[in-house]
Amino acid sequence: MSYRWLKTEGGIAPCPCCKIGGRKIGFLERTLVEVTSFFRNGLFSEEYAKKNGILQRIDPRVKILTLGILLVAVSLMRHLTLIGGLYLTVLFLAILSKIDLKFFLPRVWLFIPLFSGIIAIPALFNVFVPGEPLLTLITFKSKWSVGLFEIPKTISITKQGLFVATMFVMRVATSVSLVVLIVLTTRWQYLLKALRVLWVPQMFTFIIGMTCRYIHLLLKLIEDIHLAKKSRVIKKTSVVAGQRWVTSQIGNILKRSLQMSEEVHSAMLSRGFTNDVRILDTFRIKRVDYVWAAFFILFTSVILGFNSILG
Amino acid sequence: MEKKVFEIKDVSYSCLGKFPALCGVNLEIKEKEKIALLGANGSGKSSLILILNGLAFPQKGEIRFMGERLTEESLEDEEFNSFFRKTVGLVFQNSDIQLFSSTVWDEIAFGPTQLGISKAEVEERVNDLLEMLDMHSLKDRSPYQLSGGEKKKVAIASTLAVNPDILLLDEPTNGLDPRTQAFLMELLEELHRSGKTIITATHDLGKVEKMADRVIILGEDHTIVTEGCASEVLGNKSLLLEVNLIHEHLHRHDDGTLHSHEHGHFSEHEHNHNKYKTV
Amino acid sequence: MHIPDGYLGPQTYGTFYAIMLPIWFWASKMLKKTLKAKHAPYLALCAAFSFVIMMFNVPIPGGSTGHAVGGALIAIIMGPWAALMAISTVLIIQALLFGDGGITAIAANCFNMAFVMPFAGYYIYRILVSGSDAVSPRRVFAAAIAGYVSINFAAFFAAVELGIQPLIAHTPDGVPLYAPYSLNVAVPIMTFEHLVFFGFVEAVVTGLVIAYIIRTEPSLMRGSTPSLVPAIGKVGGNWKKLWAGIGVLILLTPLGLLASGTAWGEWTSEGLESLLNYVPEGFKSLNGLWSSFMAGYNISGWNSPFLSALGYIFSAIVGVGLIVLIAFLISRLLPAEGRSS
Repeated sequence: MSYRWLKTEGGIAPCPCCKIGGRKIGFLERTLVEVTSFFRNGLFSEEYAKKNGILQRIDPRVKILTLGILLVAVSLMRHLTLIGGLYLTVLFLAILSKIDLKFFLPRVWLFIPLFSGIIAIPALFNVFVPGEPLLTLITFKSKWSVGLFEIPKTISITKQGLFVATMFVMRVATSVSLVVLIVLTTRWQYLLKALRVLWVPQMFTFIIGMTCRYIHLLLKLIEDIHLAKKSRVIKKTSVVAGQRWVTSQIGNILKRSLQMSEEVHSAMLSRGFTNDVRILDTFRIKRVDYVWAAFFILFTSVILGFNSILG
Repeated sequence: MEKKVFEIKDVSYSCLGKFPALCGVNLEIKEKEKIALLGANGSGKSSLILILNGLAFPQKGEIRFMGERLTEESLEDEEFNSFFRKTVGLVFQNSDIQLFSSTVWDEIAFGPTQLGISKAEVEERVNDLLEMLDMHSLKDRSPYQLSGGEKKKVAIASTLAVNPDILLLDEPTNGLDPRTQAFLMELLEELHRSGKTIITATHDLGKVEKMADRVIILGEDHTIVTEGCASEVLGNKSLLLEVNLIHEHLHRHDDGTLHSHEHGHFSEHEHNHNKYKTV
Repeated sequence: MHIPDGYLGPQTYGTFYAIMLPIWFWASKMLKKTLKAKHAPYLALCAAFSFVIMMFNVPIPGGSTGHAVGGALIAIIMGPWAALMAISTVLIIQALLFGDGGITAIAANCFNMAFVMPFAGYYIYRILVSGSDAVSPRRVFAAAIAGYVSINFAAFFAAVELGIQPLIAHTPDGVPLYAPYSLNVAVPIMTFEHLVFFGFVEAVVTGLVIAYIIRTEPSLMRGSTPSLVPAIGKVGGNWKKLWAGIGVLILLTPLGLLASGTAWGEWTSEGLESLLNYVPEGFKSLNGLWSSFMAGYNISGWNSPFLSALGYIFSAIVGVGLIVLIAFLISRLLPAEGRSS
């Protein structure tokens, strides 16, 4: 401890520039906090998977197969009423699975407006989907153009546009609800093992599981790096310095990942792993699964039948 | 006379072909021995452990396991590989590396499942181990939801699930709280009594006497400096000082006398400062 | 660029499953063979890394930030086949756990981001660095260009997939059932935002990470795990493989369109013809602009389905040609130290 600069003489000096609160939360900090909490919540919310609802009681393999077919059925529907019916069915299943709708609805609908909702809005207007006007908003003296973009004389919401937008949003909402329902009612590790029923090779589901496990480790690593940086940051960084810092961290994590893959490889060899993986599952088909499957086949045939009768 | 399990002859090994880790090491390990590999950081303990587990292979010299040469080629033989992996188990220093499965249950079941043990037997072993280590409540947890001590326990369980006759441990007590350390020492003692060969790499001098009957010291020149029974080796202060396992500690007491003594880098401190302060 | 459920009709996502299944099968077989037992942890860690890359927001002048996909970066370091499997894994995790991208659309998303992007990025990079030293600064620029071009390729494919929806799936009176905007809207919007914004984020990340690797761990650039990278070595083979790859991609462009016509049998050629001419009124002038050099992906007058497919292929050839030409010119202007070594 004899270096000239490594001493504290005369106590801690006051900050010459002090302006506390002037710094905004950095770009990395924001993403990191969001992602870490998002990822943790994504995997930790097994609260619903542990409840004793109808979908929780069904064998994960049967559940994935049946609800997967339903997801395809949703994409085949050509009528708004049928999609609406399927949406209500999904909500009904959610209630039967003891999922709080106050949790379920926002989880689905908060996602929709962000992407699909905004995307669907322009489709309402005759600018994008021409058709019978329902509601005319603006009438210009003549057609006009902004740069390359030409605006017609009247701007109105069309019947066809309304149909397109509603159909689109409802289809996305029903699909998203179904996926959320599967994920909420199945524990992650069972979900992965059950993917075998969709002909996903065991090795691949094993790799997916391992990926999730190491995403956590890498996120922890980033968190540590970030904390180390935060305690050392002195002044606001420029864009170029910021880019340099972020990319050098990415490079660093890349190196660590590659190194870690070698070590994990050793650990797997040590316990007898050769070229292919064997994973045990403890699934058992019960009577409730047969009942569910029978009911499901009936329901889906009826819905698909309606879809083709209605043309 | 017990059987020889490992024979190491004039083994040299360097990491990535650049950094020497072992130079001309000779060593014999017999069945049911309890051995500690001692050495400072970077003395080659971990490399030796990897070589003993058939995960690294010496560039020079040879290693034999039950009289059979241990090489990359010989381990490609399915039968020999399966026999070797069932007989020798390693608890890695870094539990995060060893715990790669999605849940604790899957992790413990991984080894025996790969080695083709029947499903019923695997389930029994996993449940027994969970019981033994009092971890039933953790069985559906993911490794990242565990504390450091719990991770180490799962790592040990996942190795024991294979029921290896020879257990290798790399720095098992590192970073564990005293209670878990004590638990671990007891577990190792029990395993040894049940007939297992135990080889532990460590630099925790305080635990060595409990861990081992025979102590092997690797020097900073990557050779075996000495080996012998624990009390004998630990008594040789000048040797321990030489291989950087203990350091000379110089400090001034409240009464003004300058005092010098040696101690290991971790736990065993041979005198108590408070005694002087209260004088 | 993650296409959610409900955006693509069954004829489109089904086609992409049909395309991706043999690709995945082939890739995993190959990786298993070359990497043996190592492939499992290697792919898992690569996938974890590519998931994490998407978490890093990179500052952009003007105060905003954006994140990279990393397809080109991963392909450059790990080889395109490992990148294909790693990014596919990430996309599946994102779809299952976060609802980021749809389940039905997984194959389409994997096609864009796990197949087109790493392969385009990898081969563009290989061409631009051919003959240069493993650590020459030209590699940094080559990586940046590969990042920029590859994400635009991926975005273009995504835009085409979305844009053909109104053409191939609609109610009898011509109202679209899935993603509502046709090619002349979807393609310009998607490509524009990637050309002017996300492309640069990708370029910055790919270039600077490669620069960091060259500075700190140059052995990675020489391919410390050579078995992962298809043997390219000579410039000659290099070019051939690239053109073969691009050729296949170009031929695939109209696939969704063709498949819908035959597999589902719903459209007569007249019906398809009229659909292809379905252009919202307000977009006539915009369409005119595009037709000047991209023909709106459909050269005017070529109205039968077969000819319009040819039109797509032709447009794709022109597009790819332009991009390759620009990338090549830029690479020639860059310093070429180490090329002699």
